[in-house]
Amino acid sequence: MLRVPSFIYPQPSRVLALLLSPNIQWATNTWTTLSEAVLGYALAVLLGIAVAVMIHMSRVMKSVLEPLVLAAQVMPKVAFVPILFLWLGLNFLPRVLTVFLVCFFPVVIDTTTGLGMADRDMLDLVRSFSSSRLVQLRKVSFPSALPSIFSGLKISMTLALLGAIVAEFISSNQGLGYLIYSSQTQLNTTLALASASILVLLGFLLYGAIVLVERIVVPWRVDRG
Amino acid sequence: MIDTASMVSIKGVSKAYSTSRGDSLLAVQDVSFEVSKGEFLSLIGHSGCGKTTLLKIIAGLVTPSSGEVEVEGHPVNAPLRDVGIVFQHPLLMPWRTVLANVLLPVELLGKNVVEYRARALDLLGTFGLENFKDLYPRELSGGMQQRAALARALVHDPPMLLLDEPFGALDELTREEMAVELLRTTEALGKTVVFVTHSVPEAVLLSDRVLVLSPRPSEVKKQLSIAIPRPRKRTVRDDQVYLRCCESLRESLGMAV
Repeated sequence: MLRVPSFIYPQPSRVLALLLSPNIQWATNTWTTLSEAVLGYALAVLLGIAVAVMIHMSRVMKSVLEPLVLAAQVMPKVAFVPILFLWLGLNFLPRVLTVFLVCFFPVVIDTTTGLGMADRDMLDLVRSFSSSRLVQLRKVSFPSALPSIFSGLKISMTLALLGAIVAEFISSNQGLGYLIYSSQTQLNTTLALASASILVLLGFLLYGAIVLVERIVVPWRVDRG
Repeated sequence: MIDTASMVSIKGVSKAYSTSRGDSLLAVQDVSFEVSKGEFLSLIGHSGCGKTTLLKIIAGLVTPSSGEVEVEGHPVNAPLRDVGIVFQHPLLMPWRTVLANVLLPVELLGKNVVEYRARALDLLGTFGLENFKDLYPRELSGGMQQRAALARALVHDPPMLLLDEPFGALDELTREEMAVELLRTTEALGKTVVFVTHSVPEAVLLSDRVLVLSPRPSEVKKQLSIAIPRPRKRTVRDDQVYLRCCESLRESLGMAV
C-alpha cells in the first residue's frame, strides 16, 4: 500500500476539520490579511488613478511621474519590503504599503492607456462646445477610459492578497501569511493548506466585488443576456 | 428663405498637414466660397479630397494654414459654439442614454438642462425615437443612432448645421429614408446647412447649391445651383431638372458616360 505521510499531503477532511477547529483564530488572522490587502489596494486605486490623470493632462507631469512609476514597478517588491519594515517599524503600515506597491502599476498603466484612447471626433465634438480640458476629461476621456480602468482594477485586485502575504512572510505575528510561514517550521502542511484555501476564497470574493462595482459603474458595457 | 446676407465666408483657405514622415501634405488649396443665411450648400467630391477638413475649418476645429474664415461676419479663431455638427459616425457617448446624449450640447453650453428636456423629447419624437430615449446607443440600429445624432445637433437651436457625410455609414435603404427626413427637417427649420457628401443624388435632392471639389489638394471645380422649387418631395427624383443636375454633377466629377 502506498501511504503518503500526512505532513506532505494531508487528507482534505483534516484540512476541513482544522478550518472548523477553534484552536486557530481564523477570523482574526483572516481579518488582518484582508484589511492589509483592501487598504493597500484602495490606496493604489486612488493614487494610481490620480497619477494617471496627471500624466494624461500634463507633459511636465508625464516626464516627471512616468520614470518614478516605472522605477517602483521594475524594482522587485520583495527586495524592498525589508527596507520598508526597517524604515516604518514592524507594524501594519509597511504591510499596507507592500500591497500598494504591488497594485499601483497596473492601475496607472491601464488608466493612462484608457484616457488616451478616447475617440478623437468625440473629443472634437465636446471641444466645439467647451475649450476646457477638464470638461473634455470629465465628459469624454474619463468615461471612455472606464472599461480599461476596470481591467487594471481587476488585475490589481488579484495581486493585493499576494502583496499582503509577502509582507506577512517577511515580518508579522498575525495573518494568513503568518500562519503559512509558521506552519513551515512545524511541518504543519494541514495548516498551510487550510490558510491557502481561505486565501482562494478571499480572492474570489474580492474579485467578485470589483466585477459587481464594474456592473454598477459601467452598465452601458455589460451585456444583458 | 435664402437671405442674401452671408452666413459663412471663406477666402483663399489652404490647409497643409505634416505627415509622420515629416513632409507636408496639402489637403485644401485656395478655396473660396460663401454660404448665405438659410442656404443648403453641399460640398461634393471623391473620398479624401479634403471636404471634412473644410468643414472642420468652418467649425473652428481645424485652423487653416492660410486664408480667412468668417461666420456671421466674425473671424473664426476658436471652435464655434453655436453650431450643430453631425459626423459620419453617430459619435453618441456609449455611457449616456439616448436622451442624455441629445442633451449633451445643452449641458456643455451651461444652459438649463431641465428647460431643454421638453425640446429634446420633441426632437426625438420628430425622428421617431421617443420610445428609445432611455436606451443606450448600442441598443439602437445605425440609422436610429444617426437620427439621435441629428437631434443632438439641433437641440440647442443653432442657426447652422455642419453635416459631414452623415449617412456615409448607413445601408442604402436607411440612407434614402434619412435623406428625405433631413429634407423635411431642414425645410421646416430654415437653418443654414453645409453638407459634405459623395452622393450625387443626395446633394441634388437636398441642396440649393452644390460645390464640386477636385481631388486633393481640393479646389472648387464647379458650382451648380439646383433650381428645383421647395418644398421638395421624394418624388422630385423623377423630375427632369433633378436628372439634369445629377448628370451635370457626375460629368464634373469626371465619371465615365
